[in-house]
Amino acid sequence: MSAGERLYRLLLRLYPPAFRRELEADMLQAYRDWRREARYRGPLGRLRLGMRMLADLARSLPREWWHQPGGAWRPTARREGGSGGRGGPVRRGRTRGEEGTGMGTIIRDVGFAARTFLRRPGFALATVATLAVGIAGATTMFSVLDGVVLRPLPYADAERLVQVGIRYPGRDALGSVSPAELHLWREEVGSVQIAGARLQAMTLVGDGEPEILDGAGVSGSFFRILDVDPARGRLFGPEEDRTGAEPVAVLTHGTWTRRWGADDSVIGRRVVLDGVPFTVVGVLPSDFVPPEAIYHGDVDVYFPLQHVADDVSPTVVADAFLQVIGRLAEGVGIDAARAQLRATQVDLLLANGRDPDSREVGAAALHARTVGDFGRTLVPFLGAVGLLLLVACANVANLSLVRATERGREMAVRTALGAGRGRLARQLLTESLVTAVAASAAGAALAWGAVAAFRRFAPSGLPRAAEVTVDPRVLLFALGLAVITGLLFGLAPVLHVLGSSSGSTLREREGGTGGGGRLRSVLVVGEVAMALVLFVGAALLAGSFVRLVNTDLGFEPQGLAWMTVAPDGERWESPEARVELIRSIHRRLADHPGVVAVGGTSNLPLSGNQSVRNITVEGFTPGPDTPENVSYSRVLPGHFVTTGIDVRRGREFTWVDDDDAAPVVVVNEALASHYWPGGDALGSRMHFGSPESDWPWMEVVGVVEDIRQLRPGEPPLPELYIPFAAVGTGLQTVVVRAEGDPAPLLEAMRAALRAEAPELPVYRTGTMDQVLSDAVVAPRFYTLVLGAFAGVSLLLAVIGVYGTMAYAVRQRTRELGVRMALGADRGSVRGMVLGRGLALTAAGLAVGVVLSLLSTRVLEDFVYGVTPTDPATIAGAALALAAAAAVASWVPAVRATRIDPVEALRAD
Amino acid sequence: MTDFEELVPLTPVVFHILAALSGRVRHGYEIAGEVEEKTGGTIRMGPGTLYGSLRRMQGDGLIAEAEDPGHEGVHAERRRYYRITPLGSEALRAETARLDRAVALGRAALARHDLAGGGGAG
Repeated sequence: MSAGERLYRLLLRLYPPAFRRELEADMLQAYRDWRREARYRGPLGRLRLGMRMLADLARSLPREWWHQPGGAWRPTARREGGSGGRGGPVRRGRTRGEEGTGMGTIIRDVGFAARTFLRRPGFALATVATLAVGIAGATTMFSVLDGVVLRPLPYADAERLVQVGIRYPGRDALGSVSPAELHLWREEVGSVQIAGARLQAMTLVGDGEPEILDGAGVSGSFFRILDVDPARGRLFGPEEDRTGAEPVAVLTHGTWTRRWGADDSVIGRRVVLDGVPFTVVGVLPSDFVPPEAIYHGDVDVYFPLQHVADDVSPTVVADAFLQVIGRLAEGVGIDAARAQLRATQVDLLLANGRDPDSREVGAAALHARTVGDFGRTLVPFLGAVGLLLLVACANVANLSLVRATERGREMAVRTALGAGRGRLARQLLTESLVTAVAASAAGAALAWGAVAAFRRFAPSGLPRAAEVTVDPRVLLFALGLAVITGLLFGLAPVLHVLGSSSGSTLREREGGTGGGGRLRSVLVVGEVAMALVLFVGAALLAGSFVRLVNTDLGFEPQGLAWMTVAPDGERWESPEARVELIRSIHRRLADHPGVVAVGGTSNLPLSGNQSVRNITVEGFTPGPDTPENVSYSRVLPGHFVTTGIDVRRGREFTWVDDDDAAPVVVVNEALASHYWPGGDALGSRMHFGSPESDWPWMEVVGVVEDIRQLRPGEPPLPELYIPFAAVGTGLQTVVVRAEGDPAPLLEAMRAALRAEAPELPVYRTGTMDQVLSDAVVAPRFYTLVLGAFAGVSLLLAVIGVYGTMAYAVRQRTRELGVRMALGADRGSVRGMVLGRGLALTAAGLAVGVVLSLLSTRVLEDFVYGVTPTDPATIAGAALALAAAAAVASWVPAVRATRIDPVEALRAD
Repeated sequence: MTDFEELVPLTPVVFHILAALSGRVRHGYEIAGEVEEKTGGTIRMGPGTLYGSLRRMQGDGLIAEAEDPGHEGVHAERRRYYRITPLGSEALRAETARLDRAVALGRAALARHDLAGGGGAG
């Protein structure tokens, strides 16, 4: 017997037994006939045979069950005749319709299930909604996991892509590579093709307003390694790496559309970037994804690397500023490639007279470098989704169980009339599966919306967020989930049906405590426990978030507007010109109505910018805890008063503190307390660099309050400020404090720049509120996600408690009636029901507390200012849950007191 | 005649099975092949559809099991053969007459349509 025939024989078991007994041999014979014919037609014929058999099963299975005499699939009213129709009178409607396309029968089956559900719409809705929420949560999280972690990077043969960099002991990152290393590797290493990249902002002039573009200088092989094809024109080739090659540029699709309206004539046009004319040679496709491992953020324009690195010697290992990607040759492992890179690097270092051990090349898969340890970030959320799904399943099982008990009588009658238990079980399972499919459809729709929301609201730190989509695999996953959950929750009522002997169920009166009672209690306890775990997690994150946004930042973010100016170009080459420009803008804004104060800094707090340098303090011997570097900012006069940083001792800078004046510095309290513990920093001296360097001494003229420079959740660092007027270099951000809403001042700031330097673009601008909001976008996002899960699971648990108690009251109507007839007062009846509900809840909470203590550790990276096992949070969450459960039991308890003893006894 | 009017309309599958069995005894696979061939492949059945239909038609008295003609010699396998019953022939006749009337009606309607100048695409 062939494997196909064995399979077909197995599938035949799906038909009703009577049908199969009669026709199995003939159908197998027909199958063999068809297969014989298919053999003459080769593999395609066999495929067609398989398709035909499957289509035939799908079409005829429902029909045969439908026509099954007394079939469980048929509504009772439409059941006709028995199996003895053979030779009987021809009945209209019997022949007709039954040979349809199969679609009709399927619709009828679904219609039957629908009618069953419509008799109890509340039950059907609750079940479908509960499952849909669980499935949507799981599908969304799987989509995120799949899009971010599992799916290969969006490049051809992505598994051969690597990142190459300098490996430093104890550090995870791959450091920058020097042009000399890149040059040599490109020339001499055959096992991996490599390309370097360096980000550089460029000012674009001409074709509209001047604008700062984010640019990247890349090797000629960069796009070939990523295997990108141009949307227009050409990309770079090896000729771009030759010294003295034409300056050419490639635009991203976004820039091309935004700035040039997707005009094809831009190819061949010259654009002026940082004063150099570049010829546009091509446009990248719209779906090009930059390799996030080597640079975050969007790049607007690409140009050949030599235009940012042409002044660097190709033989001397000096400045390292290149990010490097590579493509392994076919069949070459990452370690073999690294060994080859290393050998070349050692030669180069020796030729440079350097210790080869001082610098060691490392290589890692680009995918791993991109995703990083994001998998770990996802753990708590995958856990949360798993719990949510479990709660949903428990709830549906509970509901189904209640319903199965209600239908116990119906089932018993049908069993007594001859319906097999197997048949009834199959019917219940079918109902479960129909529910599950409906729920998965609703769940998939919900998930689609949730994924769209994720793409829109995900914090920018998440890698590959834009690549997250609900793809067919994810939908398959949802379908699988639906089937599994359908079977899981369908099992409870089936066990119930199979477990009860028909006689006892028929005799069973209301008031009997069915065997399902204990199972239901276990389910409710489990639900409450899992809801508590989610609730504790959400409460921890919400608490952290509130603490985070209420952190004393050390400055007053409200009412601040800012604008960053990049004085590039010939006119602004001298520091004096730059200082004069900023000073003029400062003066204009100070005179502007509605402006309370004007300041400025090179590193706006919480914007993620930070400059660091080592320092030497007069008379101080560095200890083991002395930081290697301190962070510093170049600030304008009035900066501290404008931003609300308190000057504890000494003074602010003035415009007099310029290049000609004696060098001065202001330090923060963290720095002062480290270098001058217990003493007075004022009047002390320090300079940048190591003790032997020749930086000038600076005198400390002020000590200011600590602020949160990098992130609201990170403790203040030792920090110092120097007057911008004394250096006149770099980007400068002008900050103004408004009387009221700072937003209207943004235009005034632009106008001030336009008036002083019409050719300069505004580098960046905004209000401090926006910066603050961006800085807490990730914690807010995580809090919202976990909060949503917790809210839904709380709701489900409350429904579970309510359903169980309401059902118990209905079942015990007679018993409660007897009690009340015997003189029990309403209060004690109410107390009894309420007590039972609370006992279940308490058991659930006890389990939940233990689970919380064990599981919330995964939230360690997410909480701020609290331990993940914070007793107050756990107790608070448990109390809230207990209160909700009390309300859920209160309603049935009150209903129990309304039982009329006479009615209750008569009803028997 | 009115009795047989009760039988129609027949579904296409029933109609073509009856046609395939007219004047000839066939087994299941043969019937399916004949129907598929005569309808140019528009009606393709698998074992389930085929035997389900045959079983119900047998129940309705349109067809009956027939003697195995046994002409397949030593390789003959045990097969169930079917023949058309008198009731089946009448049903086939009634359905054909009904289709005739429907075709005549349709032709007349199209002729009127064409005369009215609402010409179709040829």
